[in-house]
Amino acid sequence: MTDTGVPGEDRSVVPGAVPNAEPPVVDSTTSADTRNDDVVADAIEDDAQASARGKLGWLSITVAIIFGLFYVYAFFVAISDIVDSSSASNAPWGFLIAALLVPVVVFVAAFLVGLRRNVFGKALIFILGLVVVAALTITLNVFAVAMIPVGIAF
Amino acid sequence: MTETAGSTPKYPVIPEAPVAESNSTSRVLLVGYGILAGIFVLYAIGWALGLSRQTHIANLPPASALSQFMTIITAGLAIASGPLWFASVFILTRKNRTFVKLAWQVLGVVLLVPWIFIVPPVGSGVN
Repeated sequence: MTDTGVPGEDRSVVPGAVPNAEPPVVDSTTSADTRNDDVVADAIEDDAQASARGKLGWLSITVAIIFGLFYVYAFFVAISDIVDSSSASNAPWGFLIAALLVPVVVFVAAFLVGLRRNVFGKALIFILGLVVVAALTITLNVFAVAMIPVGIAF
Repeated sequence: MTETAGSTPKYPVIPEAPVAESNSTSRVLLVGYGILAGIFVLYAIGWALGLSRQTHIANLPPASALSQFMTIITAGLAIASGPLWFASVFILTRKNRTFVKLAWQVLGVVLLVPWIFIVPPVGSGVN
């Protein structure tokens, strides 16, 4: 590979060197490392440029999906609470439906607020959204349980 | 000043830095951040105390491992919600104007009220 690749490039650096001399091992590993770092940095940079234009890079989409799973969990817990309460004649429907809407609304809000930020900003905003979902969900369930003691944790 | 009049100054006199126009707004911001930080610390205490009072949760039918795990995560996030909001908004609004910074912080004050501390717990006889 060294003899068929770019001819004379390595030889020009060290004129008297043996033509077929292999590059030192340390050199090859460090270059591989920097290449990996470059891939990550490039991905973040590409994503940041896409975000600056108001578009979504694959990294941003991945982050949105991963954090979205937690919002989806909160959404399904709300559905589960509604199903559990459906037999009760006096279920606190307002709070139950509000708990259903909270994860959706907060995810959309977090998505929109973070639209033009880089991937770290997006992740931070999604975490902040999850914090809000946690607080609001607990609060809604506290009010629901305070009105009618149905078996809901949160 | 301790320097007596007429004595030659030992060091070159550095003119005072021009007073920035944003001096008053930065003072507002500093005071605002102080108040907000205090509120969010109180929120954390409120969430922790409020959640610890919810003893009825222990009497619920046993839940799945995932549900138990997520309940703990949710409770942890709720306790940390105030300080997390303060720190995150502080970072995210670094380049924004004072009003925008404080507005986002106030939104957290509104959203993250520990009602669980204010509403009497189930089984306390109040409800």
